[in-house]
Amino acid sequence: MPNTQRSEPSKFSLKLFRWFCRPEYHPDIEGDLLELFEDRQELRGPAYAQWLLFFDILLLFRPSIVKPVSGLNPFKYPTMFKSNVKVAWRHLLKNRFVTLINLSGLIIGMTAALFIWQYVHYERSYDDFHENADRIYRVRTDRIKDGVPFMQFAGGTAGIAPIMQKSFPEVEDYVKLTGDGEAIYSYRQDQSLNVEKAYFATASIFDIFSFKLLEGDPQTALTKPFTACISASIAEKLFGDENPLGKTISRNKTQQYEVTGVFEDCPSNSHLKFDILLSYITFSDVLREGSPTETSMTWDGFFSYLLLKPNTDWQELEAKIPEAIAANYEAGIQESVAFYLQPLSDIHLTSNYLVEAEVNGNGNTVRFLFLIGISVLLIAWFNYINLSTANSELRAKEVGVRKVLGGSPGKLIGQFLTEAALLNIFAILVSFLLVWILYPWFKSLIGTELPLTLFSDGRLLGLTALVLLLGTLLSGLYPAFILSSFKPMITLKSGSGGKGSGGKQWLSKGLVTLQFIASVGLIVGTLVVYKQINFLQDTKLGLNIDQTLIIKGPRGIDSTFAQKSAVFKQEVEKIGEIKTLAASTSIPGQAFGWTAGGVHRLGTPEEDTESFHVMAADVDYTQLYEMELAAGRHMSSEMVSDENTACMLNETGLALLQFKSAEEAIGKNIEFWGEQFTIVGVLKDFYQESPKAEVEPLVLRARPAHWSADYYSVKLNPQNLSQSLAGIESSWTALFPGNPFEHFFLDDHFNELYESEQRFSKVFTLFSGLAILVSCLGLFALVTFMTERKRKEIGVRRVLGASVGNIVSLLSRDFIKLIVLALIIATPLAWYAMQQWLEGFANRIAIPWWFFGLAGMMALGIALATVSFQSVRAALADPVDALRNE
Amino acid sequence: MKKYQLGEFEEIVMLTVGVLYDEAYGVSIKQEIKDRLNRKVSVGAMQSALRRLEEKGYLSSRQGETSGKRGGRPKLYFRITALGQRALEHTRESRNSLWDAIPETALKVKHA
Repeated sequence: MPNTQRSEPSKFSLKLFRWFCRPEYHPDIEGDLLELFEDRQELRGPAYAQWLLFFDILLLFRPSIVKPVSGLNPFKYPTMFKSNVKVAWRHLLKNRFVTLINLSGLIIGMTAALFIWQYVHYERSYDDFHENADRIYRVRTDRIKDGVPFMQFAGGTAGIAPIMQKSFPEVEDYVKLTGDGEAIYSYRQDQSLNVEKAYFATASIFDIFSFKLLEGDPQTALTKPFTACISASIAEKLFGDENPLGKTISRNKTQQYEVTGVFEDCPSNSHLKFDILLSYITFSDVLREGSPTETSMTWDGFFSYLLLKPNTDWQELEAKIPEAIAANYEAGIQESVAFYLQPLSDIHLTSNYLVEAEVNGNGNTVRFLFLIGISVLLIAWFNYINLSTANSELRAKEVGVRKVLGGSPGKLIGQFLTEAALLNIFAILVSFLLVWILYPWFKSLIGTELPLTLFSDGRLLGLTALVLLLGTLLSGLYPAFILSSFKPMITLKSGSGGKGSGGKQWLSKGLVTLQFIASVGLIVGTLVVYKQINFLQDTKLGLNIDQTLIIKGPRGIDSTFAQKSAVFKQEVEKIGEIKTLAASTSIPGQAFGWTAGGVHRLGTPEEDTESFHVMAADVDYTQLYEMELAAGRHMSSEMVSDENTACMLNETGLALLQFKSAEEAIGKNIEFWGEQFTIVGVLKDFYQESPKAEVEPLVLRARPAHWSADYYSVKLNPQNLSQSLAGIESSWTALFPGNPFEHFFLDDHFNELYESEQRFSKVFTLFSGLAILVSCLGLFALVTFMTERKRKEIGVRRVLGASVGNIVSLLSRDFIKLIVLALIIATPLAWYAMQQWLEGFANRIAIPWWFFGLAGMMALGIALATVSFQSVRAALADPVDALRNE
Repeated sequence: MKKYQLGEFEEIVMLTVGVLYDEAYGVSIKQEIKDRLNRKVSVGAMQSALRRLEEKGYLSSRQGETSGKRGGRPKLYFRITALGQRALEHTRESRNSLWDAIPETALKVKHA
């Protein structure tokens, strides 16, 4: 039935079509559209036809039909665009000095920013390759005493994950892992491959995480006892070309595992890395059969990751955990332990608890570097803005002529933007190239595994290019607007911008100030980082680690060990250059290892007990390290009873047991582990691991002869070092055959503790230096312009008797004011930022106030040197030259 | 041969232009494809195919008369060029040779 109601095709649709269609195609395609419209209206009514018309038009938006882009951009005509580029090119070549300064600033700024950007991106990309990343949470544990957490673990008990799943429907699944430590694996008899990272893991690991299983069935791979999945590189090393599936590998030549899967090597941006996964059931049902591992509430060696149902509020779930604990365990337990959830993506940058899967990154460092990167880039852009506006005087005539000849402001803006784009795009390309070339060097500076993803990751590259281009546009826009706003009449008459240039100067001054705020801030930062690290290194540890050789103790000891160890000590001490040898369970720079709860003074009620670190060492250990006494005496081999009953406390421990003074404690008895000890001496507090951490309470007890020795410390003379070493080694191999002679010098070991801080300091110094360099480049060019403009004024002043000093101060005064202003603003900002960084250290410097003075003086000095380079030259120039040619 | 590259849709459009001979313009080609092959084609897909073929030299176009219909817009008629004809023949030949090369049993298995 023909439709009587007729309507016109929508104007909007047709307009849209006309806008994007190639003009030469337009008439006949529109004819087709209209014909179809009429037919459809006939058939199904106007609304339907209208919609289909619109739809057809949308579908016509394709490359072969759309106008070429030049018709769409602000440079309406291709010839105009070409001319813009040509003029821009000429202008850049003509002003080589400005171009060079701008370019070098931009290239330095962009390269620095790109490096840091890549680093920050990598650090933030941790664990984002897991498809379920936003639903995975790790359960971690606090051990609590008197309402205060005293030990915070990254892992938790074996039982917590199953309890969570049982109690809360929000928990969809969990995976549980526990470390297996270093072990030797082999497939053929003659092989032995040392594997550092192995875990026992439940079968769900491949469901929850996105670690890719290359061979084997993810559902069943780790379900049976004595099955294992190995990484591709381990498979390659053990099996070569053979297919590992179904083969048997042995662990330490004692346990046999069947290989049921091969997984892709863990990505470097995974906080959890492993080479071999063993089935968890092997651990729980076979190796620890009959022991209460799975229900024990005291062993925190298990990593539990929960997969929550979509849209679960994890904080709400976290708040409910105590209920589940109360329902499943006896009453007292909630007071001594608390569980928390950590979003997977937060672990790498925020988590720093005991027994992490690996040393995690430092969120603060990443934030700081990000800030520095941005600063350097902004400084470079500010330079561009400053130089192009300062330079505008020279271009005022050009603008005037263009305007008179009919150039609209829009076209002029186009012209100036083309210039900015040309310069920036060139800088971007060069920086990309530099990043590519300098990458290995940057990697060694940062000192981490850092794959270069900037060029391979399309999204990252796109985003980077977008940010850089946006910056270009913004930095180009302001000068473009300023320049294009000049009034032709005034510029042609006076040859200057004409417009009251107060506003412009305000901006340029503001930008210079901002640059110097950043520079002063970075100088202060560099000083603080440097001082803090020096402080840490110079802090008296309270013990002497010089000329101390450490030998790792023998493993697999038997009943003859006590005697052998004594012989070893005797033989080594006979070597001429060696003073003492002492065995101990820990050494400086290493965690104490043992902790003991229930330490209390004899005669006080059992409830008044405290947690202490415990260390056992030969009686001459404290003298070997030259530890200082607060009271009492060192343990001694001459006192026969010392070996069994003597102990020493440190001052922190003394306070914990509520002794009023060190002298009071001497001769008193304490009890723990069911044994009693007499305090023979009190040690002054010393830093065991490093001054980064606080001093913790310690009981040092004498090492019973039959105990294993984890380390031997040897104090020796540096003379005839190799001879002494050879002597020690020969008695070592004679006494402990089969044990490698692993040794190192303690002071080297200590220096490694500061490595990450030292790297941070290097990076900080480097980028601060770059920032200052770029600021000075800009300042240098600005001063050059200013002296250029004031050539005549200087000439007149000189003729009228002004001294060189007068002239220099005239030219420098403004800048000095700006730098002083920058110093005033930068001081609180830098103070706050560095305070944040220092929070990470237990022992930190107070930022001395003269640092700000020094930083200010440095900034001022550098700026003055830069400024005077030009101003002195201008002041010394013969005034005749400036005044003669009018 | 790379010289005569013709996509499946392009081939259909060209053949339809051939079928319509003197009456081949946008709407009629679209309608013909719908009638004969029961295949809906958007104006966009077809127009871009037509222009592409014209650029390759397989189709020529001439502007037709204007009339009161179509909002006074002229029709653009298409016709196959000699080059276009060769391209079509080449496509057909290559298909035929492929068809001929299939062993009979292969097709039988498929039918079974």
